[in-house]
Amino acid sequence: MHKVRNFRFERRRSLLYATAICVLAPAGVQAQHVHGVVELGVVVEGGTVAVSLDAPLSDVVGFEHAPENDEQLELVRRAAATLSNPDAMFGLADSASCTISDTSIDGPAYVLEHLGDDAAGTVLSDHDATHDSHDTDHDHDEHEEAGDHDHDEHDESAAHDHDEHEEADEHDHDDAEQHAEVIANYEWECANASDLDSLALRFTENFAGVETIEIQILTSAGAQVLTLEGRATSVSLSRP
Amino acid sequence: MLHNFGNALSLVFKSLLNRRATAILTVASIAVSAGLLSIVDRVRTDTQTSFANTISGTDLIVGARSGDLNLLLYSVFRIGNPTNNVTWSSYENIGGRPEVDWTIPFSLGDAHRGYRVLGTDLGYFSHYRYADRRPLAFGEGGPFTSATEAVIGAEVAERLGYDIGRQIVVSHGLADTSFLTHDEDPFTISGILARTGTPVDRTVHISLGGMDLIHTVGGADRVAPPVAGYEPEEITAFLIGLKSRTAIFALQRYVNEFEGEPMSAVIPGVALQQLWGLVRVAEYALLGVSAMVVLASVLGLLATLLVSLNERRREMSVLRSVGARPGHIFALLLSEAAMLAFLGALSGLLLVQLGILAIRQFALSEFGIQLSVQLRAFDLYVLAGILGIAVIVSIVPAWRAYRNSLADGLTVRL
Repeated sequence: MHKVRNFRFERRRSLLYATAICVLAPAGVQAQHVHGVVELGVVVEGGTVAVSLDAPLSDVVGFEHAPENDEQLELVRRAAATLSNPDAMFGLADSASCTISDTSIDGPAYVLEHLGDDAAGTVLSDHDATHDSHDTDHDHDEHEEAGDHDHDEHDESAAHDHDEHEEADEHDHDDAEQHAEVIANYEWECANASDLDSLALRFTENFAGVETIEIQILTSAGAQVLTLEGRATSVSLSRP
Repeated sequence: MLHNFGNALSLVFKSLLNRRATAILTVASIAVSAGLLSIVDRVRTDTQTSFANTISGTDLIVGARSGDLNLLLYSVFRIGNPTNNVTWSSYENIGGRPEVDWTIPFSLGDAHRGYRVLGTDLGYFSHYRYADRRPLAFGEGGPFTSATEAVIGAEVAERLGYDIGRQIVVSHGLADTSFLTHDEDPFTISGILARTGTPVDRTVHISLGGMDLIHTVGGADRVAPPVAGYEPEEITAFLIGLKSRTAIFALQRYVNEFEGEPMSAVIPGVALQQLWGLVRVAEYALLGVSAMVVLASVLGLLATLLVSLNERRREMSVLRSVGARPGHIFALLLSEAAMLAFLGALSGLLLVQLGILAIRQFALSEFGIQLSVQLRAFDLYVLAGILGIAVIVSIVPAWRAYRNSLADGLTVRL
């Protein structure tokens, strides 16, 4: 109300950057769902390395719906096994002596239910899983539900569902209902953080749909934004 | 006589002095090109440093959903305008999450005589960091203790000549002279921040309560809200500091997918990288054009030397007659080119240095860019590069002079 103020453009400062703003797409990096594009966030703080991967499900298993036959089930199983095994996803220099301290994976229920299948002993972090998976699970369930409904019956009968659907729409706008994604977080504790020069991207061998990897790296030296192709096998953690 | 290097140089110098008009012009054109190349690169790197130094220690900036850069620029750099506001309840929700260490609310949109007014809380003075995690310091006075007090940046104080205790009014909107002046709500200056070289210097800080006070329509029954614990309905944006940065991407995702309202969370360093990615093309284009100008000026040097050869046949012959060998003539021409190039590049760099000293204050106050005065490695590259290219291209006239000096006797038909 009162804060909708009389904003007037301040001309004298930095015309160049003002022009830059106009060119920019209005969406934040994290909010989009683009097939083939995996977003990777890497934080190195002290001896801790945290990696956050956000991938469209189609890039991980090849489709974005619950498995409909044995072949698809097997694909989901295999992807779940890869996701829940940090060593199959990423690799850090041996000399840095890193041990995995935290793994949490979020996604549609039909992927999550297979996480335990092959990789026993994977720790799903309490703290991250509770708040994170709560939110995202909810979101994804909504999507799924809405998607199913759209498939079967074109009118959304239940008022409850309708509300949820609208809410979801408001959030993600163009993220059409059938989209599903996987968010995986891994955290390592490293004894020799100074030896952390690169991060091996092993998941690219297993996830065939990945075309582009957008990487943000935050270290004590600052931020780095990179775009790698889907077959890339490693990324440097030190500044170029 | 030419065996002595100092003598040789003085000979070159005296010969140039004899042709001072062309020599000075050549030096000037090289100076301009060297200066251009140097200043383009300096502004480029200093802009990046100034921007990077403006915010430090802040993990995320949160505002209404918009482009990452827009959010970064309006919240921290006071460039451009916010798209919308964030409700206080969303701010409290996100600020109350366990991984969050501190938050600083920002309420923007008003101005005092062209300087933007920032409504915030006391956390700003304790948590905001710039440059290499340097905290804000007070040059005079202290933080606001009531909703009718204001803390001003160093440049605001200097430019407007304000002191502690001075009463100021805040105008509605951002224009210099707004018709809507909240003149019944004067603020008393309680503190002046020490200079930071960032947009903080150009900001008037008041409390969130003070911000609401000036926008409340009403008479004398208005009560000044307290500084601590005051909760406005909306703010423009807020900064987040995390207990551990490892939670940064999870929290960013949480904000971006927040159920209550559409918001964006940006990582300052990442957004700045995007900005540099955008302007890089323009920067390289400018650098490329400057490099071409350097090349053109060196070609000008080459042309001048070639033209001068014919007029100087007699000079060369005299030199030969007093014992200079053709090799000496060759070296003479090379050192002449080198001297012109060196003098040109050096005076260009000196000009840049003087120019920066002259416009430094202006660049800082108008654009927020802190131009560095010390000589940089790039300047030495410019100097060495121009010298090198000049020597290489002057092989052509030097060779020609060498050939001429072999053929010509003392009596040259001119």
